[in-house]
Amino acid sequence: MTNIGLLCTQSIPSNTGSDKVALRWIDKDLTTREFTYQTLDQTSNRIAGFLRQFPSANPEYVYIYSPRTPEIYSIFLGALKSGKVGSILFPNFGEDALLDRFSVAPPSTIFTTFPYMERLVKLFDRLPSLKHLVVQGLDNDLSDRILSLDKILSADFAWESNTITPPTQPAILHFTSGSTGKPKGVLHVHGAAGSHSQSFLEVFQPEPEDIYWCTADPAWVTGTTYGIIAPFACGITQIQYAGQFDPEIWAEIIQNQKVTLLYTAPTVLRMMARYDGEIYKNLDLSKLKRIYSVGEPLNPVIFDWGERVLGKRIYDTWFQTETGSIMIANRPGVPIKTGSMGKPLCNIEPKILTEAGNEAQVGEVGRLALKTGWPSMFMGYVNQNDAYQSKFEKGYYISGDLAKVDEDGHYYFVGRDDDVINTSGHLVSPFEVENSILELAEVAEVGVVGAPDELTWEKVIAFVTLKDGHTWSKSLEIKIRVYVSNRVSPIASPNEVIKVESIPKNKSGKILRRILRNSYLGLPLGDTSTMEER
Amino acid sequence: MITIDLMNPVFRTVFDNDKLEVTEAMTADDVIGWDSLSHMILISALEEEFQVSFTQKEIRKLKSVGDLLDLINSKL
Repeated sequence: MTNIGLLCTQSIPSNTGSDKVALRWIDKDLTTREFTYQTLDQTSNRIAGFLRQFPSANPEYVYIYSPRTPEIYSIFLGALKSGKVGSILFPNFGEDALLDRFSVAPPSTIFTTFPYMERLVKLFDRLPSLKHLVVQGLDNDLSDRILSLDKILSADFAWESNTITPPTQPAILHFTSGSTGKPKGVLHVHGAAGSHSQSFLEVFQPEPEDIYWCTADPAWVTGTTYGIIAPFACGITQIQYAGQFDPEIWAEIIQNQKVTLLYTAPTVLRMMARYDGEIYKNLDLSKLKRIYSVGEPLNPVIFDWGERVLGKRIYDTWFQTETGSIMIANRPGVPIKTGSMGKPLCNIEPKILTEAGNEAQVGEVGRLALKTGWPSMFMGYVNQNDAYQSKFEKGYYISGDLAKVDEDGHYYFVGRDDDVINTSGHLVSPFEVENSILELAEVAEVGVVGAPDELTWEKVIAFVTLKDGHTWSKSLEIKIRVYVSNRVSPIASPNEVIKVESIPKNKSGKILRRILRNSYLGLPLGDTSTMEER
Repeated sequence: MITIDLMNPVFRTVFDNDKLEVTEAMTADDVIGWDSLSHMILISALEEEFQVSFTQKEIRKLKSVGDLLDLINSKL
């Protein structure tokens, strides 16, 4: 069985049963609803049956653009069962961010919720490939194109698996940001599930009675791989919470739901640590066995906080959208060195490469590369084969991260090898933010860089010059931040906007981000010989 | 003293919704796009609009639009 949708709903390990709770959903008011593996199978079958009615050339992209709801899980798995490619989008994406992604991989069907419907209806004219917008919260279909999800889930769309899904068939689409160009569509195949499950078992080492919570949004690769596929494929009960991060509420959920395995982001842990001593005094975390983190490096101070205040070990993990599953991690049974992201998983062979492509010395910073061939390695960037090929050298995938390895084989993240900004574990393209800001009538030029931040690892800083006749003001700064938030997403909105007289560029017009970054940090500007004369 | 009507245009701009009508009882759950990140943008926009300044402690205590209104009025 290689279809991920089937694996997650029908191949539950023999020591569990279809009446085992797959998902315990916690609403914003903290009331809970439980969904068994059997329910998940039935509802995802209805989605698959609905989608199967509309066959077309492969691959066909089915999107979910919705705040967190329990239905997301059935929709996603149903799409995969039907043979379509499933893609979950962040609900805070603005119009530009949506259109950029839809232009890469045109949608055939989009699932959404009623409050979000209007945003998508506004884009109808620009989405000729879109056959159906399926809306949760509609009692009835509004037209041939706008359908009610509630009707689909209550109808009898007969479906059973009657075809074999090849492991090489595209299954999942994620988007990732580059330092240049528009977002790239990262495709993963059904065969990736082997990596998803194996890495979950190796790193999290779950037991049948565990209660697991992956706090990542399902739109993030972590949320898809380790918040949907891996726990379901391994027959684990997981919880999900509809609300936003709140340290007190999250702590209460961990205690009351008896969470045993928690997978979250260092930014969350840093925010929790700020409440040190206030909310953890009377908390019973005795059921919580281990905490795992992903997205940004785990600071030693937060590792120590976990041991000292929570009495729990925090295990850092490393992977990327392109790798599809965890490649390097700390985990039980592997000695931990604070500051290290751990050791490679079984059958994963990383290497640190110099600029020239040779293997770096122990302790030398270089490009983190992975020997190709693991099952969840991405199969391509949609319609960007050159970009895909550029990620490989002599049989190794080049991650774009800089790292080093010590004499015991522990890996240490150092930074990015490009201009992509990692803020709270999300990659933000400076190009995407710059394009958005340039749409404002007041702005002449813009350069966007990342700068270190205590809470979010990196923050987004925008430098702007103004057109003649415009003056700088706090209002204009807020206008820029709001504009990026609405057009791209709040995560991409600059934390600071700085007005400058000029944006440093080289003689061919490329923005010299190093100079902007160094000037912001008060560091020497470095080599300016290539800078354009003004 | 400001009223909810004066706050409404700021909310409409920040959340890109020209039909939004905020009420004092509304919380982040009632407004599309009001998450922890856009909340900080909203705070900056309100600070600028009404020429006030909030502390982190004050921001953490906010639970509703009414709380925001009261906080702004307490500083005017």
